[in-house]
Amino acid sequence: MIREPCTPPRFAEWLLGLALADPVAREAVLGDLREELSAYAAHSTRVMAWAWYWCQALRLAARFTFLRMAHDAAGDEAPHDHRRRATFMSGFRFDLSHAVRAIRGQPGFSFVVVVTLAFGLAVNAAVLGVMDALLLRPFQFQDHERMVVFWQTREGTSEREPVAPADFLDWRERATGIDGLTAWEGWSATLTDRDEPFRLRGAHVTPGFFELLGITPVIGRSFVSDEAEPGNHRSIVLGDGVWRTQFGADPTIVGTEVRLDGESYTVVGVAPSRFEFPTGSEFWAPLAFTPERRADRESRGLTVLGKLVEGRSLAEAQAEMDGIARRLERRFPATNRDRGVRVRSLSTAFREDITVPLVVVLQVAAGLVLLIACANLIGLFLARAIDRQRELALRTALGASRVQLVRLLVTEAALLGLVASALALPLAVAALGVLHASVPPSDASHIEGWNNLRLDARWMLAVPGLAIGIGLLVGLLPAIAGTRTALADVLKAGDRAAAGGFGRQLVRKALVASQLAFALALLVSSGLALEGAMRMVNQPGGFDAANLLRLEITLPDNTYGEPTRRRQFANALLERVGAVPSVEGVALANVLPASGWSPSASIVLEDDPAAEPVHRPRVGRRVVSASYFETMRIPIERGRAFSTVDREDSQPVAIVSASMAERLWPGRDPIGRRLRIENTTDEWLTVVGVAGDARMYNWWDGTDLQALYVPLRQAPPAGLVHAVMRTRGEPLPLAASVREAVRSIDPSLPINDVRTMQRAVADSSLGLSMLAVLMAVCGAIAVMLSLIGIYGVMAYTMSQRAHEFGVRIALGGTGRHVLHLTLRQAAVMTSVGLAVGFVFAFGLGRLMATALYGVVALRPLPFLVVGAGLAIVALGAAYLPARRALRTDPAAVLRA
Amino acid sequence: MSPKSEFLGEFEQMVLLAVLRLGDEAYAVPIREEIATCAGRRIARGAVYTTLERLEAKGCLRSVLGEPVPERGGRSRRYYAVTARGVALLRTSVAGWLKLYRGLEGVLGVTP
Repeated sequence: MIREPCTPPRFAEWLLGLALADPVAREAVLGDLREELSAYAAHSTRVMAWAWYWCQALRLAARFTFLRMAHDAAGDEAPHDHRRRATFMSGFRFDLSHAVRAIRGQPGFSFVVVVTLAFGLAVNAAVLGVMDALLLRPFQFQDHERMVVFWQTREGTSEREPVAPADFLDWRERATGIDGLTAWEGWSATLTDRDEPFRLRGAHVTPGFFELLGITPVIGRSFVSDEAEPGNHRSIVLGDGVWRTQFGADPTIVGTEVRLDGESYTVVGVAPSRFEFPTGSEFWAPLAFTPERRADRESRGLTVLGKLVEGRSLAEAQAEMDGIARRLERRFPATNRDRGVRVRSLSTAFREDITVPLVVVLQVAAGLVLLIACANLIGLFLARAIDRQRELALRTALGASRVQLVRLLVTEAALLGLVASALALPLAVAALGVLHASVPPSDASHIEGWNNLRLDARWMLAVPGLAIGIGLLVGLLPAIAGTRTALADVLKAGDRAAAGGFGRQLVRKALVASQLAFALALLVSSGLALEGAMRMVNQPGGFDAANLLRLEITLPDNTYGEPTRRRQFANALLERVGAVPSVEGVALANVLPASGWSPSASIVLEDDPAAEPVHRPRVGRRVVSASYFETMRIPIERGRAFSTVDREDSQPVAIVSASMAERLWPGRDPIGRRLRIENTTDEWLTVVGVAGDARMYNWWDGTDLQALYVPLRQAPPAGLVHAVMRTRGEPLPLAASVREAVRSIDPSLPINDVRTMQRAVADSSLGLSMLAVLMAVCGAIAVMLSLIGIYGVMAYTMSQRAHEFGVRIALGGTGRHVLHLTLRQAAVMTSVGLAVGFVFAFGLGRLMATALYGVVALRPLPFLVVGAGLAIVALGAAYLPARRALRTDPAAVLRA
Repeated sequence: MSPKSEFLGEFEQMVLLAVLRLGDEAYAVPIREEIATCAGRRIARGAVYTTLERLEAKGCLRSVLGEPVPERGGRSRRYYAVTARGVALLRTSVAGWLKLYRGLEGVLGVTP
């Protein structure tokens, strides 16, 4: 035999030794294994030999342990008599059938356990589903984890900008670490050959877009490289939804001509259902660069997507792109100075800043619900283990070992966990269904991943796993505690000893206190979220949202290319809609508050024309009709509003918002100052007034309050314009007559998104409202669970102390006295719980206030209300059982 | 003992035969190897131990701990020997096999 100085891994040997109770067997087996290890090590590496030893040791240990447990469970006198070869599985079957009987024997207890755990699990499973859909895998394309999005950056700002065509073409040529670089730009167009003009959201994409994403049209084909040439680009791929709703799911659609914005396009394919990338796209057309655009490094409008070459990391791609950006900077200093590239993974690139904190806060809340549920369960199981002490003692007396008893109790708990997860899964699926349905489809398409919201197989499996784990945990602790008591004492003393010693009472008090603490933290944070949401929805927007009706109209470039045409249209609209009965005022604007976006522009100040381009202030650019401020009821704080004197041929003027005036000319009068919009040949604009701040969309910080207003007549907006009407009474019933008035000017214009301003404002804080609602649901479940827990533990403690109360009253104590005593104890428990809870709540509140900056603020009110409420409820839960315990006849209690 | 225990399972027979063949050197490691070499069956380590223990409990085997061996980390080997009862049971089993086999040489083509 080859001698090799290979010693077995100590721990593995020790573990195996543990499994072998018989010293002779231990000596032989450990020796054999070591001998074989030496032989094995002679022709293998040390690591392999150790791995081998571990495998063997674990297999043997498992086998010996199972055999021993099976043997114990069978309680067999002759251990190796093969007449009754008890296997581990038959022992398990015994436990299982016992557990089923025990669960059915205590329907009340089992029901409370299952419901408690099911709610805790369902809340967590649903939130995991949300997290999975929104954060982990918002895009489920083939190889989505390798996909990266490219933005351009400006030195000195954190802004990310889209990419200019010439830069994109250079990147595509030079980048070696990225495959299939493709670009798109959003394009909204109107289907004009329908009965009613229909507005579509879509994108111009470079050929290769579908291939990169691994998407194959279900009918027809995707784009070919020829179609990237101007002139050959009149092809479109339709989305599944449009194909079904507008073309009746015609299977022979390929080759059909459709008219988009008045031009003819040929349908070449239909995309698979559920594919609506980029966000909410309903159709796709080839992106064809004209020679001028190929050289354009200034109009940054493209979003660029690529796939990392297999094995490349994001950091390597970033480094490569940094190099390319520096070379371009040297070659084209005029346009590319201080321009960098940011590479981000697809899964995070389009995520709204607010999404991560929202989901994290929700996840924490869900975790708290589960913790409360667990505390409840431990309390329940502990109480029951004590209740069952006589049964367990009897089993011990009849020969059951402690291991067997613990196993019985644990199996029971795990089985309850399994039943709870069977209830929790449908609950979670239903909750996700309700959640998904609660967001209107038009908003849902803006939230990446929202349409993937469902519980997939991984989470389906995780839930029972978690449930069994919790069952084992909450079953094990009380089982160990419940089986530790000395047998004779329990049998002799009966129920009285079962109240448990000081230690166990402390555990119960700690459980009540921790439940209160978790519930307080959860309720306070849902209170904070609720308060934040209410404040957001009700906050002064700087305008009067009541009785406002709004709608969108799109002016196609080919018919409304001339500013004069647009001006005529605007005048006609203001006149005709203004004439509709019950319309008190009407205004037009390029964008309205709560639209979800706001165009912005960099401005050059006459006072400070030399400012570096990067330091030029960027403000919201609003083009509004003269009637805007009056219709919206935005106050003019200084100077004047626009009026009919501001014509296309008069002096160009502007109005600035109060925030913008404060930022640009702090403490100085803005009236009469002049400014100009960067990158335009426009003339200098003279500031004639200061308007009150009006909130646009960004409800968590104030950056959108800085706005520059220019009169519509001097800069009539192209493309999308918004109309807003101040109405007498309910706005919505006027929608039809307003539509009719617009139609009478030009029946080919698509009118979209007709809704009240209040509705739009509520929709724009949808995420926060949903957080508040979900937190409130979590909070309600938490209160329900904690009430069950607190009342249960209190009632149990009181019933256990009935004997003690009897003695006290028999010895001359009054009922008041005893009540006072118990309430004082409950008060101590409650205060400890609330004190710890305030610390938790404060921590969670801080987390929320940081994560949802400006949305959630730490305010004392929710703390006070929730704290006081919980204190009353907890004391009430202690008072009721104490009263009941006192009302029983002391003599009867003492005799029992 | 019930009548059923008078019979040996196939694996029990193999282990007993291996112990007989190994003589003084019969402990778990070579027993397992012997079965692997002769019968071409690789048996789980744990199964060998359980079978040895079961056979000992049935009175077919007896075991004794040997001297400490350095390459075993100073641990002893547990040597097994077949008892008279084991030999008798084995004999019955093998006789049964042979009776069943008789007349089938033409089919199976192996001379025992």
